[in-house]
Amino acid sequence: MAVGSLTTWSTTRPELPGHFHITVGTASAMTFMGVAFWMMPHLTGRQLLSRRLALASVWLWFGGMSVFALGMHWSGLYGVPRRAWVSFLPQSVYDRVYGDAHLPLTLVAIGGVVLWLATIAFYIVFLGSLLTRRLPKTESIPFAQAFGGRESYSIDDGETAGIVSCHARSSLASVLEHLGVLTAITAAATAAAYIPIFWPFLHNVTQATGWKVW
Amino acid sequence: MSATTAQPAALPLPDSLASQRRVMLAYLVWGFSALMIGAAIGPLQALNYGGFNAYHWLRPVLQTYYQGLTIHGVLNAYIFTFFITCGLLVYLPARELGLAPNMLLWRLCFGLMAAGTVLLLYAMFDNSSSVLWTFYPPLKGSPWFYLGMTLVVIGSLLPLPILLDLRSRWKALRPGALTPLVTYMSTTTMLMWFLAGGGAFIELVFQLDPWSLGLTDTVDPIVARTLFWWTGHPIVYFWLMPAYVSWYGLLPKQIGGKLVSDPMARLTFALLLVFSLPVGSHHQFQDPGFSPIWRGILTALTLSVALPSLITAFTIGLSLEFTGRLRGGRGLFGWFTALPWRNPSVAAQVLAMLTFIFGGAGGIVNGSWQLDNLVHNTT
Repeated sequence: MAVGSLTTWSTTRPELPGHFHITVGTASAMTFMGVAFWMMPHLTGRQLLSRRLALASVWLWFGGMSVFALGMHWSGLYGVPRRAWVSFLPQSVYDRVYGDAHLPLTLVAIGGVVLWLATIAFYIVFLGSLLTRRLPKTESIPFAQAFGGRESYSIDDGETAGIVSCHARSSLASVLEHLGVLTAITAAATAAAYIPIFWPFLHNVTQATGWKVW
Repeated sequence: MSATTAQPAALPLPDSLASQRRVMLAYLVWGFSALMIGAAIGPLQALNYGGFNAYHWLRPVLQTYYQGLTIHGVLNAYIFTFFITCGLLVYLPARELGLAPNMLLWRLCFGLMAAGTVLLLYAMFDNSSSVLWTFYPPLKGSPWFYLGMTLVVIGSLLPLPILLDLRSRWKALRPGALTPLVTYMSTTTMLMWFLAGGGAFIELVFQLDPWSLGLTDTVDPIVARTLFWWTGHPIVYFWLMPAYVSWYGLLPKQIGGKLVSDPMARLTFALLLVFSLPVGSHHQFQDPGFSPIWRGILTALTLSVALPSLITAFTIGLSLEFTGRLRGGRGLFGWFTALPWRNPSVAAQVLAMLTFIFGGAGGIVNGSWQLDNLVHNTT
């Protein structure tokens, strides 16, 4: 049965939402949360509300999203459709159609509940940090230094570190400095990819009127 | 310490620096507020898959699963990420170079995107526009939805002129000097987004805005979808590259070490700029009008985008290992556990990298020709 429904729903399955919740939903979102943990004190001059709660929020987010994404990827293998209001089905129908995928779908739900806890913990820290007591000294921006010549410098907190020119100049970095050329190459590649795609569309116009299906 | 608290706690800042911080804080708070609403709704979708329909109880606020999913997608994927990125990628380069950014443009960027957010929220919460985050026609929402989206797209392009201006002012003072790394990475990201944004801009301004306002009766869905994916695939790098800016440009300092290679960071961003753009139509393998030859080319191009992420995995991995060993880590994984895990900012970013190993590997699997056919349409 699972194999049968796989072809039925072939255009749209939960692997992709599973995939982008561990990319943009965790790799990017949690990096931004991490940035907020140093940046809020840096911008407001107030201390972070709670380091422990901040740590708890990111571990819960990591755990919740991992369980959620595992369930999403796995249930896709059973042919569960994505973007579908499956819980709207009567219980007997839901069980008949998605019974095989019961375990992965339960993981999806459990991951979601853990993420609720992570969200609550994060926002207590984030919003609470707008109201904490002032720090004696503002946190500076943690600009990293690199091995070799090129270095980034912080000139924050009133102290100017100065910017010196690079000692050991990398030929690769020098080539890549020509951002205008790189942009032109990209624009040309994009045009080369899209002109042949759009060309037949312009000669076979479809005219559709609007739908409202909700 | 008690002696110093008689003074105002923070050091007095020059006006320009103080106003930069206020604007950056506004970006941060607006972006995370959007995520707060979007993330609060997210688990309702997860419960839906578990067979639990929470939407029964949410009637006056949320009518359907599709309305909740639209709000979740739009707020998290567009509003949250755009505000964080358009804030960080101006603030960090300006502080790195020690120059004031064009505050008028930076505030205009905020204002356009904030006005767009308000229109989008109105259109989504009144259940007139449950078109999901891809807003594929012929699904038709209210004009407020498309106009709001148009403002958000236009606003998100404004950091590019700010960065080009900062970079050229800095370089004018130092002929022949290489752009400092964080500025280089930020500018490359915005150049990528400038080329990518064209698709959504054309789709909204020439197709969906006039159509939703009643100026045109019909719309061409295949053209709209193709324009959408011109932007919609590179947008994933617009989400990812700002995270890379932090991993390359800040995290090595936060863990107490150094970035092992600056040129590799630049190469990663340059490759992302070139490879992100031409691959969007791999989201349309089920659509008519895409020949097998094109599918083959698009598959190859799609897989090539993995290259800069593999460079990142090794460069950042080595930077972490270097620092972990400095901190006394021994053996195969000792350097990893020796990282400063008690720092929540570090823990968040290293855990984010761990999930990205699985996300990136899964992306390569999903990008393969056969699986693309099954999983990739509509994102």
